[in-house]
Amino acid sequence: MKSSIPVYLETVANAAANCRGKQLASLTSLSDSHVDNILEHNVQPAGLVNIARNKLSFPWDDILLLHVGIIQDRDRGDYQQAYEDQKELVQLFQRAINSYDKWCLPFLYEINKDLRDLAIQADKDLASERNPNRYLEEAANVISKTFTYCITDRSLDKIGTRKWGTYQIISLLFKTYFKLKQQNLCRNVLRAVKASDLFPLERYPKAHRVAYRYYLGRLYFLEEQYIKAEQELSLAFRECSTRNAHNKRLILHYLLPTRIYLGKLPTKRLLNRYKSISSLYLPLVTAIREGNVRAFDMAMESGYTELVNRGTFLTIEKSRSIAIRTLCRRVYAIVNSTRISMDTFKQALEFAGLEVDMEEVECMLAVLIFKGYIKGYLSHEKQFVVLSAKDPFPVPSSIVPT
Amino acid sequence: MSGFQPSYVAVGPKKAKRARIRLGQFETDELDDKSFPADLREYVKSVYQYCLPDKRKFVEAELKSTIQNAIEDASLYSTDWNEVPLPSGCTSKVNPKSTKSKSFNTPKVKNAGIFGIKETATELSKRESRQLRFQSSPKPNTPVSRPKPVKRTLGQGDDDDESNVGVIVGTSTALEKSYLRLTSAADPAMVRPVHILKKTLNLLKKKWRQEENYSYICDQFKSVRQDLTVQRIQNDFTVQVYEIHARIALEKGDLGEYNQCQTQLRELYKKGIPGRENEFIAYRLLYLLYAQNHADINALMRTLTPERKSDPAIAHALMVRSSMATGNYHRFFKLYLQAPNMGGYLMDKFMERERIIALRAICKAFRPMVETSYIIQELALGTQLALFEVLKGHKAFFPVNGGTHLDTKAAMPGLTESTNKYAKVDIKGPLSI
Repeated sequence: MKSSIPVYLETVANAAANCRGKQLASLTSLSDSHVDNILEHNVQPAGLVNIARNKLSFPWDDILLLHVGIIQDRDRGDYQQAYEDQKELVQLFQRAINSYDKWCLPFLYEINKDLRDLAIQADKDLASERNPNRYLEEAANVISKTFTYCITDRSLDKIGTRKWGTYQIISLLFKTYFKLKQQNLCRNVLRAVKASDLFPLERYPKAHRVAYRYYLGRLYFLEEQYIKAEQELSLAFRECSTRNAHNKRLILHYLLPTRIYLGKLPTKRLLNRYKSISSLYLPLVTAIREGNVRAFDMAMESGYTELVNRGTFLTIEKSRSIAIRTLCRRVYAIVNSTRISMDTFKQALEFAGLEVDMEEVECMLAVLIFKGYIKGYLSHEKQFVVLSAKDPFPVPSSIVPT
Repeated sequence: MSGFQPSYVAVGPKKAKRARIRLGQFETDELDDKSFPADLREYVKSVYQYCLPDKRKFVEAELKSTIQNAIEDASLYSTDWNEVPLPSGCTSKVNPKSTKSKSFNTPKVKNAGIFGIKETATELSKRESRQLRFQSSPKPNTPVSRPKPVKRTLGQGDDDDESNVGVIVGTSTALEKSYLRLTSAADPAMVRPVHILKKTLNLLKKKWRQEENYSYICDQFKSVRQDLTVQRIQNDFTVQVYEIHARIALEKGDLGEYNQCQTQLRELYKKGIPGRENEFIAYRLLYLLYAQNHADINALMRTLTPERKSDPAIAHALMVRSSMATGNYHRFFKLYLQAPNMGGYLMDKFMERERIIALRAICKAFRPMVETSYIIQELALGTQLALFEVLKGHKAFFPVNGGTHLDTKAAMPGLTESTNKYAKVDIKGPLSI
C-alpha cells in the first residue's frame, strides 16, 4: 500500500517504466485512495522534491510533484490554483506525448477528466457573472488538444497507436461542450473524425462506443433528426451494461422521447425497470396508448419542469397528435362506419374532458389527415369525416412525422 | 484488450516481394554481419538492448527497413550510426552512443526513463520555475475556512460598476438632436443631461403620435440612447426609453432596431432595473417563434417561473408556441387576433408563413373543395380579396363556383413548394455524418 511515500513514488516509477497505464492512472487520479494518505501525512511538494527527482525520471517527477500540490490545493478549497496546476500537468504531458503510445491512454484520460472537474469547481468559486464558464471553456481547449494528439498520432503501429483513445476523449470533450451549451463545437470534432482514418467504432471498447453514441444521439436529437437519433441512442442503450443503471437511465431520457415521437411506444416492462423513468414517462405513454388526450395534457403539465430541463418537452408535445389519433380510432371502432359526423368526434373529446368548439375539432381532424395519421377527407359543408375504406388509421410507427 | 481485434499490418505486394528477396540476406543472426561498419553493429546492439519486449517485432521490422534503405542508397558507411535515433518501440529514441544531445540532458535525469519532451531551453526553464514553486510551498495543512469563496479577479474588475473615471455630465439644452456616430470622446456641450432628456422623451412621444415619421423618430431615439450611454446612465428612465423605442420599432416592423433595444433591455433587467419585463419576455418568445429557434425557445422556457408563466402576455406567447407546435391553426389565428401589447406586430412577421402551412393542411384534408369563407375566417384574413392575394402569391389560386370554394387538390403543389421554402435551413449546415 502507499502508506509510505517512497513506496508510492517507487510504485509510480515502476508503473511508468513498465507501461502500466491503468495503474498510473489511479496513482495520479484525484479520486483514488492514495489522496487520503497524502492528506493524512500532510505531504507537501516541497518535502518531496529531492526524493521525487531521485526516484522518478522526467516528466514523471514534475507530474508527481504537481499532483501532490493539486491535492493540497484542492483540500484547502483553492480550486482555482488546483485547476491551474492540473492544466500545467496536462500540458506538460501533452508536450511529451509523442513518446507514448496506447499504454498511456488510461492515464491521459484520467488527467483530462480531473482537469474538467477542477475547472467546474473553479468556475463555481469564481462565480463571475460576465464569464461564468471561464475555466471550463479553457479546459475544453486543453482537452481538445488532447483529442488532437490522439487522432493525429502518425504511428504505424496499429496495435499501439494513440488513436485508440480518441473516442474516449471525444466523449469527455462532448460532455464539456454540452455543459457549456456550445454543442455547435461538436461539429468540428465530428468533421475531424470523418476526415480521419480511425478504425471503425465497433473495434473500440464497448464503454467508449456507448458514451460516444449517446452524445451523437443527443446531437441528432437537437438537430431534430429523430431517425438518426433513435439509431444511435438505441445502440447505446443496448450496449450499455445493465450494471450501469445510471447511464441506462440517462440514455432513456433521450431515447424514450425520440421513440414516442416516432410512434414507437415503449413497453410497460421497460418503463417499470427504472423508478424515475416510469414515474415520468409511464403516464404519458399510457395516455397516448389509450387515446386519453386529457391525461396526456395533465402528464405533460406535471412533467413540464423535468422535460424542459432536459430539452425534450417540445419533442414529446408533438406526440399529442398520436393521442388524438388513437381517440379517433376508438370512435371509429364504436361507430363502425366510414362516414362519421364531426360532432361525434367533438362529443368524444368532450367526454374525455377537453373543452373544444366545433372549429377546433375540425382543425384537429384536418391536421391528423394532413400528417397521415388518418386516411380520409373532410367535408366542411356537411361537417362530416369520410374515412378511407382500407386502413383509415395506420399504425403510428409507420408514419414519419413532419 | 478485450472487445477489439486489431488488424494485421499489411505490407503491399511489391514491397513484400522485394523485402523477401533482399531481406533474405538479413536474418536475425546476420544482423551483426562483419561486413557492417562497427558503429552500425553498435547501433543494432543498442536497439536490441533498449527494445521493449512486446515491441520486438516492430522494432526488428523498422531496423531491417532502415538498414535496407541505407544499403539501397549506399549510405551504409557514410551514416554516423551513433547519431541515428533508435526506432520507436525502444524505451528511448535517444541513441545512447550519441554525443550531440548530451548537453541537453539535465544531470539528474535517468536514462532508463522515457524522456519524450524535446529538452529545449523553454522546457528547461519551465522546469526550473516549477522547481522553485515546489520548494517554496509554504501553505500550512489547515484549510482556509472561507465563509465566501475567494474571488480571484481576472484583470480588471470582473462585473459590477465600471470605473467612474471619464464619465461626463452633459450640459446641452437642445431638446432635439440628430444621431451622429461617435468617433472620439463626446463633447459635454453636445450631450443632454437627464432632465433635458426627459423633456425630449415627452416631445418625441407627442411627435410620434402626431406625425408618425419613423425615420425622424428613430434617429432622435438613437441620439437619446447615445446620450444616456455616454453618461453611463442606467436606471428606470433608460429602460423606459428603450422600451418605447422598441415598441415603436415593432409597430413599424423594424426588427433590427427592435432587437437592439431588446438586447439592451435584457442587460438592464438583469441588473435589477425595473421595467415591463414580462411584456418583453413575451416579445422575445414570439420573436424566437418567428426565427424558429428551438434551442433558445427551450432555454427561455427553462427560465420561466410559475409566476411569469401566469403573466397574461407571457401566457399568450406560450399558447402561441404550443398551438404552432401541434399545428393547431384554429387556436393560432385566434391568438393572433387577441395578441396583447405590440405582440400582433411581431406575429405579423410570420403570419404569411403560418397561413401557408395551415392552408396546406386544409387542402390536404378537405376534398374535393373547401369553402373560402371557412379559410378566411380560420386564417384571420378578413376579406376574400386578402385570401386571393395570398393564394395567387403561392400558385394556389384555383377558385371554384366563382370564388366561393377552392379546389384543394389543385392548390396543393403550389402550397407544398412554398412550405418547403419556409423550412428552416441551418446556415451552418446539418450534422453531416
